[in-house]
Amino acid sequence: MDQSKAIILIDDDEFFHFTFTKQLKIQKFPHRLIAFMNVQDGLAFFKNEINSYGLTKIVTLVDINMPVYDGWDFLEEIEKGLWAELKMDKKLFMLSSSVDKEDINFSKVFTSVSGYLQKPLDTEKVNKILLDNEML
Amino acid sequence: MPLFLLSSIFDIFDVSSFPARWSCGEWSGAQGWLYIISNLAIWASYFAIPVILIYFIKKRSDLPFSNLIKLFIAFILFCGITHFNDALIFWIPIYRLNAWMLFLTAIVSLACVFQLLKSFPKFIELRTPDQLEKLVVNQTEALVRSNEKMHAHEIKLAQQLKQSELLSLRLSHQNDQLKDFASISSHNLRGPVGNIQSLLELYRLAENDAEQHEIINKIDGVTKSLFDTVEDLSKIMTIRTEPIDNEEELSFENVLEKTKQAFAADLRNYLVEIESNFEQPTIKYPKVFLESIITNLLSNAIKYRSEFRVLRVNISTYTSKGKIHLIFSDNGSGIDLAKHQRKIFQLRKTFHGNSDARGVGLYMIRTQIEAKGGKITVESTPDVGTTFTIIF
Repeated sequence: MDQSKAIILIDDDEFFHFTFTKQLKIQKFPHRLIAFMNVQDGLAFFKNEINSYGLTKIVTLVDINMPVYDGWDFLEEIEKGLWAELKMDKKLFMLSSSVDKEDINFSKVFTSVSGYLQKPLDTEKVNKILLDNEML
Repeated sequence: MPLFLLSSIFDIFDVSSFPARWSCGEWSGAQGWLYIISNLAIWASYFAIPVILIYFIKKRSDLPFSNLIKLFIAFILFCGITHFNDALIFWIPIYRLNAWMLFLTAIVSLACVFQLLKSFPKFIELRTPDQLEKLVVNQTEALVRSNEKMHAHEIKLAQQLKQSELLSLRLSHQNDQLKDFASISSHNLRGPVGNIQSLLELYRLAENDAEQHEIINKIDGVTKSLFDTVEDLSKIMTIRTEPIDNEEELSFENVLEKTKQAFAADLRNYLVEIESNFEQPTIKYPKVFLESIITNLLSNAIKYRSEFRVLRVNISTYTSKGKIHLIFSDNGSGIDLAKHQRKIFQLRKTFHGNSDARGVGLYMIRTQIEAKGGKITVESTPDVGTTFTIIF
């Protein structure tokens, strides 16, 4: 297991956590999965812990629709400098079951966002994400 | 005749063939002077009249019949001259000159008559001051009437404008509601359905019974949350289809009592204190809406009570500026409004890590209040409490 690469998941949906973990296992994902159930915990990780993990590459998946603070709140917060200061190779994708074009277009406003991933993810989609981002 | 006229032009100043009038016939002094002085008085008057008329014309440039007046001035001047001559003849017998002056006077007089006849129809049309005043009064009345008519039109227009504003408000509401439903189906229905899809795929790929069993349990969980969402939707739909014009006189006290009974167990378990002060005791409102508003606010207060103190709820009503206000405040855990103001009344936005928070209640009462043209606002401080203000 290569500990220098990681997928960071921020999503309030416990069922998505379950299926995504299983799908990674099926793909024999060799790296770290760091998962959070809400934006506050995710932000705390980016602020305080990430640098102590010695990561060289991260792919962050952020759900849009979450209670209290949503995915947009997360983007607003990390784009205040936090994201730009990260030294490693980094990608960020928005996750949502929404087919709302407004959501997709709004994600383009944020420079930190590399793309928009439509839920649900099946094993094939997960495989493609991992391959595209050299995570296998 | 023409020869006489021609010759008389050349000798008009010739006075030789006549005697002065004093010596023609037998004048007594008094008779002669009466004749002379009367003629001179007429001459003076006839010369004074044009001066006054000219002055008058100059002052009143808008005067009609100015040509007639000018002709009349000429006429009266000529008349004056003949009278002067008539007096002068007592000493100088200028009969010949006077004949010509009479001739010219005759022409001017005839012209005057002609002009008068020509202007006659206009004289008839000329209005007296009384008639003019009556005309002004009539026209003023007509103006007032048309003004009133215009005012009535204005009122009607304003009413129509208000109606169309109401209509557009209702339409924009329905539009918002449609958008809400699009968002529900996008986020809240697609989400769990997608989860079930993923879980089914994993079920097929599962390597053993234990794993399959685990996945089935998850599918069970997703199905339950999906059911909750559908339940919420049908609840909203029921409220939505309620006719909003179905108003009745409701007592705040009665509605609160009814709601308290529904929450009796919670109120007893958490020792909730409810204080009410209904300065405005009643309201004309759809019953279902008012019950839903009080129920949701109370359930909200109970759900988000503080762990550190007994929940105290304060409900009051009053009328201000013709509108009924309802203030609902609690000493619960509060919300960080700086972050959540824009989302608090939206569908399925929850602000507490609470598992039974489904983000429907406040959305629902907002829809009801706004559908009736009212407004709901919130003030809150984390760990102090929350106050909702409804203006019906």
